[in-house]
Amino acid sequence: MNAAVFVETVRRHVTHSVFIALIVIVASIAALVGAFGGPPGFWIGMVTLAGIVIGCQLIGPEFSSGTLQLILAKPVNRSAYVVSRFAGVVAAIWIFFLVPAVADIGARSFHRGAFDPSMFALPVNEAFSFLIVCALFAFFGSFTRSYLNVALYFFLQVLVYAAGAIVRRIEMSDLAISPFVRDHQGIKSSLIAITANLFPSAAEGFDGRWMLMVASNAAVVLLLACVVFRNREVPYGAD
Amino acid sequence: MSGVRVRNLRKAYGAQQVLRGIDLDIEPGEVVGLIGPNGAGKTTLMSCLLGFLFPDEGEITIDGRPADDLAIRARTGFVPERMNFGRGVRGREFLRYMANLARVPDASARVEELLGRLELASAGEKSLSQYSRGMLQRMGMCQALVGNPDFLFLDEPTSGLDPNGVMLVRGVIAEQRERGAAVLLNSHQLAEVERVCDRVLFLSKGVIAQAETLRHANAIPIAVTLLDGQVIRTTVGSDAEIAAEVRRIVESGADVVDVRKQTADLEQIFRSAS
Repeated sequence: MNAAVFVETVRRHVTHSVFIALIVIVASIAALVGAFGGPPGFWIGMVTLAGIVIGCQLIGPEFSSGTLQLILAKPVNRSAYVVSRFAGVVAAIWIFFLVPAVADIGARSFHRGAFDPSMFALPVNEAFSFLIVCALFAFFGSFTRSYLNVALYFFLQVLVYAAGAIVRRIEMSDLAISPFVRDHQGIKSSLIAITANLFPSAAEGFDGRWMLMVASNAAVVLLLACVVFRNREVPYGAD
Repeated sequence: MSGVRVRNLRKAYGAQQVLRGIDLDIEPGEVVGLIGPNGAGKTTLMSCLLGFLFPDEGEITIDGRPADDLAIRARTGFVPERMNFGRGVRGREFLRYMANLARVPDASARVEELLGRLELASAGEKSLSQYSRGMLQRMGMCQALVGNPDFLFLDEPTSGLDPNGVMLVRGVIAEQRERGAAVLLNSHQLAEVERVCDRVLFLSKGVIAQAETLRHANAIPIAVTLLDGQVIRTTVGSDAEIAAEVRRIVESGADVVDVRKQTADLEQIFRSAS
């Protein structure tokens, strides 16, 4: 972990005018809706989208702009760089989750006259799931340029969901391959496991095992990102 | 401290061989110019020296250690041809970040010192997006020097600079030489290379086609042009000897119209080597 890279990553995000403006807008809406007893956590979708926009900037854009080369010319271990960028981006996304969550739950508690800690579960779990999202962005960014990491992330997500849907469809139909799929339930359960591990849906309540799964999967993906990035060439300019 | 050593460096992009066995030495306190046509492999060589690219064959050592060793990185400075960083970042912030990455003990003092030296003190609070090309180049120089490097790799450090900026950077490079830093200067500006470099290497088609010594501590080539167009070329050991040489020519009855410290004709060599 490189403290300078981590601090700079967080600082650059949280001092960005668009970041601040979006947080204020989302937190204000969350507080207003919470105060009037509207649906809880409806703002999470907005923050999730913003989180993806923040997360996709992990490595690729720094490579393409030439910033990465300036940093790697300094005594910065490549793995430490990946981990620090990851940690900085996750921290920025968590801040993005924290402020509207506090506004929403604060307003709701004020409205009800009672504080219920379980209201934090959904935003905390959604924020936690960004560990694996950002780890995947870091991994895809470790061998691609620019924003190709986002494209690969969504391609993989669509591929896994589509494969699951196709397998279910085949299982229920009368195709020649259907008996094979029905006899080999491992195919379906493997796809479900891949989906649950790489694209986990946030648990509704606090669930330590779910959190541990997300954290450990993110750690494995991040380790892979470090291995790939250590062996990556980072040319600059052109002859 | 030993300098930069490159032995039989080879690098290919797929089937295209870009570097075909480069041997290179840069001693401490020496400024070596790297010139050559586009596509000669200059940037690839620089990238290998900085550990951005991995050689296919050959060896690079800097002070006896591998080029990508972090202890060497801490003693290395690099100026890219185009300084690019998050354009919303202020100059002083950017430099402080670079100082922190370079593990500079008293980062703030060093940042202020460099901003002053490169005449950017008043622009320190401006966003990099408001910087002119020349200011960005000078900022690039600042970030390269922030860790007081022993090894400097400069890629077109004077491109986009006005004459004052060029003189400023020239002075900074001279200071680094005096300090004992080993400097590799990649530039298309032959006049600049001639002014600041001790040696120049002509890279062509992935090999060092020609190497020229431009300057010795005790040998200054000069060209004295006479009124009749005749050019007298000789070598002297000091500025005082230049004056003595001119006096000798004048006393012999010739009219001197121009005296220049002269090195190799880089343009001529560039044309023949490329």
